[in-house]
Amino acid sequence: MALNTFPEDWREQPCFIVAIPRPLVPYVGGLLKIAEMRGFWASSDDYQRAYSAVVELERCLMSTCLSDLIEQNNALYRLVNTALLGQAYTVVSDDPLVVTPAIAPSVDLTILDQDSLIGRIDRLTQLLDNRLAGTDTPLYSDLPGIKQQLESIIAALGDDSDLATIISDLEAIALLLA
Amino acid sequence: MLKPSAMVELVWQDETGSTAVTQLNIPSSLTVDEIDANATALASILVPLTGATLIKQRIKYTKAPEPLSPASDSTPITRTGAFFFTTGDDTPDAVIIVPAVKDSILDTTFPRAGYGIDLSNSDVITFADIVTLNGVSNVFGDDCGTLNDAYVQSRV
Repeated sequence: MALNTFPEDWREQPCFIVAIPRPLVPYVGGLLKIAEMRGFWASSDDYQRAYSAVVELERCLMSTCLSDLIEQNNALYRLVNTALLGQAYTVVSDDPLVVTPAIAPSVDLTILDQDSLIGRIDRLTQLLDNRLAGTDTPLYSDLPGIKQQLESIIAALGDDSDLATIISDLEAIALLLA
Repeated sequence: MLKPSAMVELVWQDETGSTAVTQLNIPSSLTVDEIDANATALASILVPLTGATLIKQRIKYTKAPEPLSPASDSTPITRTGAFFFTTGDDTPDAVIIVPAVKDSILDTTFPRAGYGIDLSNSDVITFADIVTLNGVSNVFGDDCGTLNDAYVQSRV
């Protein structure tokens, strides 16, 4: 049997994910037994490094199921979709986990809840549109815009150029607006 | 019951790398150090007789329950439980192999059902505690710490 070496920097090297069907796990783990043996490796140092790696690999075979990773990915998707757009999800059953609505292949920017992140930004945008420009928006339509109010003030001031008259007129306008 | 003789194995290797073993029996009433001294002396006497080089020396004490009791159930010996213990941040994990693990200690919930070993099982917890408290180590002599995981392996 050839004697094998094992690199000193093995912990710095990249790792690969391999999906192992559950019924194969006992056999894959068992077959790694050969690499736990001193005679498989060229030196004691190679052996100790490789033994560490092999036993860690064996331990990992049952520690993270691929379906767990996928479900965590799905949970992350739902978190983002709820936070951004306000999509509400319901857990129909825990084992097996069924959540409705199902994850769609794609989503548009329809705001499902005004308290979501995009919903709040939309609310601020509508508020600014309404308050500054007086634009009627779905959420804000009942107050004149600041621009409109300034135009009303300027019109009300007329051609007065005397400061005392302007202040007096402004006080009168403020009373009317109050 | 401790068998009356311990076995000394002297492992020899020729220039091709092939190995062979000389087996010697020595009373098991002697200590490891005493047997080791005797075996070393014997090995040195054998050197003029052989062209091979001594590469390893093993001392084996054998203890067996007496009388032997039959297996408690029909679990096959091939269903091996591999128990993984941490030994430290920079030292290799320890793996302890237990053959014929019972159904009663296997996980029952997805996805580990039937394959993983239930780390919350009281018998498993007791085993892990005893391993930790009794100075069991990995092959490099690093003491076992926490039981990290365990599952069924096929090692036969």
